[in-house]
Amino acid sequence: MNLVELLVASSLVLGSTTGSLGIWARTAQATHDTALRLRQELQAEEQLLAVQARLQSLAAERRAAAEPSEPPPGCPGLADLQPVVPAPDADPAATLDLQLDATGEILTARAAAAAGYQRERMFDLVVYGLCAGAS
Amino acid sequence: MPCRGSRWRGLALRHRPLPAEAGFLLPLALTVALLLLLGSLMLVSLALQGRVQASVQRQRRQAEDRLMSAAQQLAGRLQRHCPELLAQPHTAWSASPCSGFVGAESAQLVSYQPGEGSGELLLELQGVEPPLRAARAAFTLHWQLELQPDGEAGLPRLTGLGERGLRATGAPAGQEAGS
Repeated sequence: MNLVELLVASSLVLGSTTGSLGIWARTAQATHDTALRLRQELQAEEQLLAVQARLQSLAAERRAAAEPSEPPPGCPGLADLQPVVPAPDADPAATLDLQLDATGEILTARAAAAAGYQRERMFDLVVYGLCAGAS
Repeated sequence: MPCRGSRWRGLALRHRPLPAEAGFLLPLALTVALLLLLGSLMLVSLALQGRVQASVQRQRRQAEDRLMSAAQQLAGRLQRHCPELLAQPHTAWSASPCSGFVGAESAQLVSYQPGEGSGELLLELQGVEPPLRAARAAFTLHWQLELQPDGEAGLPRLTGLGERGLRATGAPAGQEAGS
């Protein structure tokens, strides 16, 4: 083997190894970021579904407790509509914000995560039988 | 006087490589570099594929949110203004005097088929850019008939709304969209 061949071969291997290591590091970082975003999105989804589940359970509770002779209770307040979170998360990836409109019948649920990711769903309490729907 | 054979043997050891060893280092290095390059390309393509899938999922969830809000809006309007339509198919709604109240800003009604105490609602997004354009979702409206004081069945009253997921465009209400 001659010296030129040795030099060319070693620089080729060294260059490709360095380049590959750079690509792998960036790919690992991108994969980590994607996983983090997915976790945030998943938690936002869970929070919105929890709101829906809360509305359904509240409606079922009211139907079960309703007496035919009594007038139906009024629309529930925000405190009644907060979903029950199974376990408090020390580092929540997404936060939930609930708002009722002026009539008290339309609930807007916003689940927001870092980097501007946000989901929003509107719920009509009349649809669940929680309000009389006079408005 | 040195032996002629030993002189040639010394020259061969110092200077001439064996035929099998000659130039093997460069092809080996090229092969290693090529393998590293291919491995890196594969990793990058996998990461890109993951990103594209995450983006598609995000758009899908966005469509689901909009359609769900539209379904809530439509169902709420039905309950407030014309609950009797809950027990009729959408083809009969246009004859109703309160058909003007039925609808949602961001979605178009595709179909509604009532059954026993529930109805299947199919909505399509409108006024959005591709790829969300023409996204459809099916919902189940649950209702029960209110009893009149004289014991007769009165108007339907909504008790809930269930989400049944996105549907392929042009598909009937019972057919799932490919994920």
